[in-house]
Amino acid sequence: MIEMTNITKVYQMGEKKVEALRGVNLSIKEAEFVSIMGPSGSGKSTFLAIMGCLDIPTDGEYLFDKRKVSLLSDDELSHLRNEKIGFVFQAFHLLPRMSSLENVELPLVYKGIHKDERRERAKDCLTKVGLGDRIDHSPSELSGGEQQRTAIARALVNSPRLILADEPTGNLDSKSAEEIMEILSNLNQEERITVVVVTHNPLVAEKTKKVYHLRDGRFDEGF
Amino acid sequence: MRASDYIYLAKKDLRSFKLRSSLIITVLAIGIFSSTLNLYHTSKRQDELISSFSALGSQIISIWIQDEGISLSRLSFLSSYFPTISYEASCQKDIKYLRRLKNGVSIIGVTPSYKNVHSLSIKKGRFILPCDLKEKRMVCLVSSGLCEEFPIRVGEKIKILENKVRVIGIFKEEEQGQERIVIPLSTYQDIFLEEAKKYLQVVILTKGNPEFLQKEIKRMLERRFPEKKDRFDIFFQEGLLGLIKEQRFTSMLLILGIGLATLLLAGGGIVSLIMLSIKQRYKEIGIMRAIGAKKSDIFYLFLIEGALLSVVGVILAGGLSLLWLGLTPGFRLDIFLQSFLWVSSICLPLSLCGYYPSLQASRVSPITAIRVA
Repeated sequence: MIEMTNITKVYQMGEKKVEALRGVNLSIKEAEFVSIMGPSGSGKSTFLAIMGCLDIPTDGEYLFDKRKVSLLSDDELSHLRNEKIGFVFQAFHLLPRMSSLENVELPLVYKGIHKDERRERAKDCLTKVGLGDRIDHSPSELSGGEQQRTAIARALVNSPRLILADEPTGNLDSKSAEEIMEILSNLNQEERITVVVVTHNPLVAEKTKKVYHLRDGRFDEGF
Repeated sequence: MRASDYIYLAKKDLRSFKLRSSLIITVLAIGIFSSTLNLYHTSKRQDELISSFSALGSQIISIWIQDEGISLSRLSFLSSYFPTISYEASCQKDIKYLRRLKNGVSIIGVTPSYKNVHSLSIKKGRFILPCDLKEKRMVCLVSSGLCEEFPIRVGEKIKILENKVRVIGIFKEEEQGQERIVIPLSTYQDIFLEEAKKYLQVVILTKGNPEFLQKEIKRMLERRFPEKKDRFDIFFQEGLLGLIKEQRFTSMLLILGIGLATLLLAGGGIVSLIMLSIKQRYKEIGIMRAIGAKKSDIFYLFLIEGALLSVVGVILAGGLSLLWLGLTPGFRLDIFLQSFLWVSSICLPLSLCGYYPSLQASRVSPITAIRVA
């Protein structure tokens, strides 16, 4: 499903060049549940952003479903993110002015789905993550765990093939973190969604089936 | 994304910035409201002037004298040349009838020949007689429209300023909404000393060539009052209409100019509101892009937000001015619509004020927005 070959990302910081990724290779198959571990500044978030088509690599080749991502237009990338990728961020990144339901509906709005249908689908997703009774609450009225579950519902609503979670438990207490990992694990097992989790927490990583270690922009030997 | 969804999201965003949005809408609405009111009143007044001149027929010559030294008696020589001649002066004053006040009624001081020159139709009572003029009698005729508003009857008294004036007749208005009171010119000059000094109008109805007569009258007046050549203006009807229309256009430009300045202010407000909104919602733009919004979705979302502010401002101003003007006597819907459309047409570009900031918003890189925030 994902083929990344020799991915490099260089940031220009004034006159200095910073190499965030130095020729990374990775292959992820359909329905895999993997985690990418690494200390702060190891390049794992940059790697996830490239995998999620939010950023473009300086060099290397990225194939998503055998399509060369570098050849896609901006609109095609938006379409790909909307239809095939779901994002879960550490800081939840819900829109504060909208209710849980409206937040979950949003990807369907960009897809052009009719109001009644998207409302139904959003409700189903919220029920799936155990928030069926909290649909009218705004993010500020929800706990951290509930906000993250809303974010997962938003990532799920378009039935994506890939969920990318960037430190999904980083802002949560251990009980909520456990619940979130349980949900992600279920999605992988029951719905065969490919899940990639970026984390620095070994307890989170051990819930996944495969762990990659990223250090100084490279995967550790053996991967 | 569907058009209705753009509006739904834009409305939601504007609602969450209530104070700022309301402020912009208020500035915009006040600008349109005041410009519409100004334009309406000016247009209505000039429209009435044009209609009254048009109603007189094509062979009318009007002399405007702006010198108190040129009195009625010194102008009487004109009567020997033109049998159908009327001497007039007018102003707007408040009147009272049975303790009820009416503001800004046209009071016209006239001579008895006014009735013939203006083909006035008397519905009740009589017109002003030479004796009324000679004895400066406190008498008047009121127009029928005024009688509908106030149940004034012949023989009763109304108050003009502090003067009690007896109603001796009721006449038919030439045009609806032209509510007037006619009093003897000598009485007018007695009551309204200051206004009477300002100008005197001589209206001549003639069968001759108006252009030729205009020149002849000018020559006669210049010979008789050589030191006051610049104190009188002579118009024949067509020339006068042209002048009024020209003046109407100039005042319209002036009002629209003032309106434009107010609207530019509101336009600047819209741009800064959207800019600020983009700055505050930088992270949100990144999130929206991450979950599938295209550049064009972001662009139209912010553009529609700006356009919605303008549309709400225009609708609010339209409703307010219609309500305000609709309550004034002699409201003219056609003039209101014309004035409102003129002013609103200036607002149209305001809807596009958000173009540049919206373009900026659409260019935000999703990953930078999420990371920076």
